[in-house]
Amino acid sequence: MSLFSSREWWSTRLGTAEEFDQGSIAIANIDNDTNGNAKIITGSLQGVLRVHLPHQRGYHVEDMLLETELERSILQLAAGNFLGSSSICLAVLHPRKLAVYALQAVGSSYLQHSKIYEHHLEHTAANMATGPFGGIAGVEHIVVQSYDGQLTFFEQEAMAFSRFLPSFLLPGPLAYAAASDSFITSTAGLELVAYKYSNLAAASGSKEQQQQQQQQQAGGPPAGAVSGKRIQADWTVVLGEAALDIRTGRITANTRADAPADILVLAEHTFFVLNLRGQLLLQRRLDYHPACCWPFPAGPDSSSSSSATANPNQQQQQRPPENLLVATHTKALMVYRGQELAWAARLEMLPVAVRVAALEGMQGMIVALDDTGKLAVLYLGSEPPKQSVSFAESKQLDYAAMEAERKALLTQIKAAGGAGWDPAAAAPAAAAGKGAAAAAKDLVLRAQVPSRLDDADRIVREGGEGPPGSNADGVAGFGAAGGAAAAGVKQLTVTLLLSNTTKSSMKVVACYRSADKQLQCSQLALQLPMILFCQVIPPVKSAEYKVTVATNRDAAQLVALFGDMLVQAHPAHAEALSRSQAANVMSFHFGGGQEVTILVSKNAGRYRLQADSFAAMWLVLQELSRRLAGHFAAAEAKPAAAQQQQQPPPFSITFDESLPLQDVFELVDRHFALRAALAAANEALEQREVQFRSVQKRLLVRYKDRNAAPLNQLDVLMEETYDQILDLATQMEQLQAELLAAGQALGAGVQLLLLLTRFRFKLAAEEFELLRCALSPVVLEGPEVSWEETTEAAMTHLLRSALARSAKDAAAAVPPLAPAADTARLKKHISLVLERLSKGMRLVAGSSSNNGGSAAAVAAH
Amino acid sequence: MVADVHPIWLAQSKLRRRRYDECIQLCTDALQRNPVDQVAWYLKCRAITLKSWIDDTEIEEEGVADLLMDEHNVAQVARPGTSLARPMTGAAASGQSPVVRPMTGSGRPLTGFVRPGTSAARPGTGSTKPGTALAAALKAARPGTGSSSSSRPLTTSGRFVRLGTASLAAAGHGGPFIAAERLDLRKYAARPHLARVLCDYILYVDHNMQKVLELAGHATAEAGFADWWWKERLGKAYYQLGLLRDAEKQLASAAKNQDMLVLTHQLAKISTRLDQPLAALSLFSEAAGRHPGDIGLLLGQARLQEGLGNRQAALALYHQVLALDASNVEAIACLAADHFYSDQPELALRYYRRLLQMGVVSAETWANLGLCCFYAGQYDFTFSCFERALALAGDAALPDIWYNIGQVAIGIGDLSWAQQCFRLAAALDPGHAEALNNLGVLQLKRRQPQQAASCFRAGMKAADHVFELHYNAALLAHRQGDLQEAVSQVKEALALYPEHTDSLELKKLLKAQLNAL
Repeated sequence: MSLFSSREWWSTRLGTAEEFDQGSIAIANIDNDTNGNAKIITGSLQGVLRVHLPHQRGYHVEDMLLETELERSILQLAAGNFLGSSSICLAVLHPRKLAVYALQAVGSSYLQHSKIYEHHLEHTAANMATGPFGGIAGVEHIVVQSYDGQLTFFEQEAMAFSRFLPSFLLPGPLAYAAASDSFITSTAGLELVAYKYSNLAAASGSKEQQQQQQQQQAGGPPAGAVSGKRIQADWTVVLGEAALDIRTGRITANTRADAPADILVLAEHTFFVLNLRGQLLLQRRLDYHPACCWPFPAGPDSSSSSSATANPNQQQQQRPPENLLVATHTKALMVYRGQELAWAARLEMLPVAVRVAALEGMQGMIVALDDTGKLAVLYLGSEPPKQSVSFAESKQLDYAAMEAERKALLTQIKAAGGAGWDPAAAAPAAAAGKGAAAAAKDLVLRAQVPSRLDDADRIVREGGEGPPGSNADGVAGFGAAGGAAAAGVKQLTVTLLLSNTTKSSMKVVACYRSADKQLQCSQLALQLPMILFCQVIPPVKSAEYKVTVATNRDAAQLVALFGDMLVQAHPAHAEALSRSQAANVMSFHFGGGQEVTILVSKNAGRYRLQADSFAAMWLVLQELSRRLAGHFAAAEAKPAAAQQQQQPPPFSITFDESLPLQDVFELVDRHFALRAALAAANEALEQREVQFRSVQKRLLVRYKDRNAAPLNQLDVLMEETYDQILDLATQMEQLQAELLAAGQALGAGVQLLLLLTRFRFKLAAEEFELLRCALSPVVLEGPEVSWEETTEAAMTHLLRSALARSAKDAAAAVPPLAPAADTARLKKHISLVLERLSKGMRLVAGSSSNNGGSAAAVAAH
Repeated sequence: MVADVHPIWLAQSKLRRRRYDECIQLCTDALQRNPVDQVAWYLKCRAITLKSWIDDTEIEEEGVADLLMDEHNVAQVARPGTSLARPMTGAAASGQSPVVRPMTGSGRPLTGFVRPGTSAARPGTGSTKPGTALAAALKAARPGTGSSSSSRPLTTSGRFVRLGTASLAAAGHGGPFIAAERLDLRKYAARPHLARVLCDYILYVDHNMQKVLELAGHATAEAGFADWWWKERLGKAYYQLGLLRDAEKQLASAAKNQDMLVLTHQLAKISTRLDQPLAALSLFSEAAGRHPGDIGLLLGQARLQEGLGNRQAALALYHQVLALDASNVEAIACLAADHFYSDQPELALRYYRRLLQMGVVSAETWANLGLCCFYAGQYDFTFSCFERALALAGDAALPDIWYNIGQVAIGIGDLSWAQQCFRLAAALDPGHAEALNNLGVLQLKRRQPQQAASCFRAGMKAADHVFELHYNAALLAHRQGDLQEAVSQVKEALALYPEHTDSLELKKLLKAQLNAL
């Protein structure tokens, strides 16, 4: 993971299907060129030796100076002064041979190699190390480690001596530390061991003797009388991990000025730094798998910037600490400066060996070789990696198509029941179907609150969620604590939930506290929009009930009248309706499932309402009359100024048929029958409860008894009774729901009756209100006394007072309010009241035309 | 082709280059020619071991059986700040309140970097509801629940065993390479070269802890009780057997022999497992004094401080780590998360962008970038980020990404879209309590209190660390007049987050109402 990637300056592929390892590369001015250019020397396991000198960016043919086959696998290359003269030559380790070559330039384009000397090895070689062993100057010697633990030392053409390492299993990496003149290697036991050169040189050489020593060592304390000296490790450190590579370099920054180099061990999961006495100076746990490492002196820039400015006087004695380059198996290149990760860069390859060298006069070029033969010269640029992600969206977005797709998806989601989701609901679809019929609709009310009241957001409590079936409109309260005097009006939205459709108007009451802590109240009655209750559907034919009303004007256009309703209608239908402006049929569908149709007869200005339910017609009729009145009032207000001379008679609606009393009575009967049934069920439930309780008591007595009598099927009786109670309770619930519905239907029917009465007898508003009070459309359920009883009392009162025919009627005794046995009297009284109205008797004194004989009785009302 | 290269040399070279299969093949051939070739046996053993090597210094998730058999409870009710099960909350600890920073499934503050163990519930020590961790673990361990993120191995060694069988099958030999049961370990213990690799083989490949103990016991006696490595292996084996105190003893003794970083990590791991984070912290800080500038130790401290809710301390440590290693993904991610939750999405955005440039391209990074862009006001990038996140996401990350998109949808006010997002999140992960909570709130807004209540219930059933669920349920119950339910839910909410102001207010209101009744 790194921000940058390494940049390639020069690269080539070495051969095909050749293999390379850690030691297959060396960098030196191998042909002793006078301008000191370093060459890259590589040797593959297939035995091909190559020398490259990159001249410029990119590979060119003339960069290769030598390519030759040595006929033996090349295990390791080392460049050094192996001749004693000052020229650098190349040591090549083959499995059974060590050869030293000198390379000379022939012209300027290629090199020639010549073998100077070679040594045949007795044992299969593993690796080698070079250095001025024993502190000699001016020449480097070579030591070869073999697979059975033999170190063979070569001093130029001569083989000096060979020693077997003690307790050996497998050769590990070998390094020579010049400062302590010792060899450091790691053993199969995951330890790091150092041997002094002097100790090795002085020890006895033969393998037999050493094996004897080993046996003695293993068997018991070493015997004193052994000829020669044993090979003794200078120090041993248990690392616990196998070492991949061992190098020497100065990594730790805070050592003394004359401190010798440190030993760097790259192990499988950790990087260790030890001093020459075998003490752990630094450990760094690696969160990656390292592949190889190379210490290199930090460039002149970094040393001058970091240490020179800090302590310029010490700079002469103290070389700057070296940086360490680590290549990882995650294809990254890490540069460590001490503990700090100075740089991390991504690599394109997985190197087995890295070197840092000055090539073509450029300092600090990284040479990396991977095991398939890719040789690359890299540098660390600050270039971000290639697969950097870009934000730019190149393609143009087709918003129209996206919007269309979104719409299609939304409809799909809706069709799949996406409206409401419940993780625990078993059958949401079924519930949704049922709920749709009785769905209460939301009404959003906007009230304006003057800002001298409190802030609108300080609502103490937001009500409005009345339980279903209740008639309660919402109550919203505002906290009021005297207010800012700033003028202006604030908008406030209160949402109310309506569940009852027997009223078409509502009243909003706002209570507030004025600045002087006085409770004040303001109210507003408003007409609920029709759109809340029903929607327009394609015309239907359902003519079970019909009502025809006539007007004294030409017929108005239905589409114009009910224009606001089209908003909610099905788009196709709404379009059809609005196109044919002269449609004379319009059907409405109520939330409860009823359908009402209005038919217009064009010529006569008559309107016929048809419905499958009697009760449903009232709302449509009321709306129709209201809208007609509004429509004609508006239509006549404009031309009224121009033609004042011809004042038409005021708009009126008339109803000429007989009042549909029978239909209302049916509703009354149904309501009454349901009440009776509910009362009966209630009584039965009471009886069963008594029975249940007494059975329980008896059972309790039996159970408490020490020697109980047999149960005598009491348990069966109890279970039966319990089942009956449950049945009755369910039945009652059902009945209550039905009663509620019947009450609403009755209320609606009465509303219709009242409207028709008004049209038929042309009642004035005041009179209509009186009648409405007596024949109330509000059906209140009570346990004993309900609508039937109160209405009958009101009818009786009307007959006694306003509509009394004689003094005898007026003097009739008023019976107390009591549950009625049947509805015969009620029906009789209602029809009597309507009959008297039809005969011209009026409820209000002033409006009575002919025989207002006893109108004064109204005062008692 | 490579005619004269010694096969063992080649095998060693392949081992160094991590070409284990080729190395094993070479060694197998060599062993067929000479069955008692120790070097080939040694190399093959190491290759197989390295193939199945895992870094076991990090704390791993505890198995169900380990939770059941846990006998290491130190304090039943720990003081706040001394146990990872009771992180400090509220202003006193300078930690971020759970309102701002969400919790992991175990009720620990969310960190920016998922490590083994961060998402796991702690054992029931000191937790307010004992046994909940175990119950949650059992719930998650049910096969087929689909929530791969929370699945928990039956035992810790169970997971190791599973890893082991896979690698053995890859070795392709029908029988195991080494049958540790039949070896005379005493003989091997006397041969230090073979003993160490054999021990690692038994530890990492066979997972036969009894044999490791036997071998290491013999070997440490052979080495005169002065070899830290054998003691460390003893400690490792004891730890995996669940004998934490014995493991601690061995490791402490090893640390006296040689000061190794591995030992510090192991000791701290044991302390963390014992739920003694302060002890682990002091171990780390002592070691950091001896090894200045080691990022492993700093990270260890930072993780513990974060787990304890010491936000400032953790932040300082992460900054130190970044000063030493500017490309440390964990430190960057944790800093980014912290900046995000402390209302600095612009800074978090820069950290996440850095992660992306460094090559950490994952669904989580893109989702985080999307959120940062949104909250930093760079709306034009938000959705392309989320698109990429969705394209990259696997099953485990998808629910969270949809949840985050839902948050963005709420932010722009598109509630129906938000609801769809939360539904997707809840459908992909039925135990996504946060999504269920938000879904419930949206249902409440749509005046569907029944559905809302059922969402809250489902959420509470799925996870018991989200106090918002309880508070919302309490509010709903209160609005519906169910005071009893409201009181019990608000108590639950306060048990999870004692300083939640709204819950306290609601509780006060409820108390007043109940008094009035």
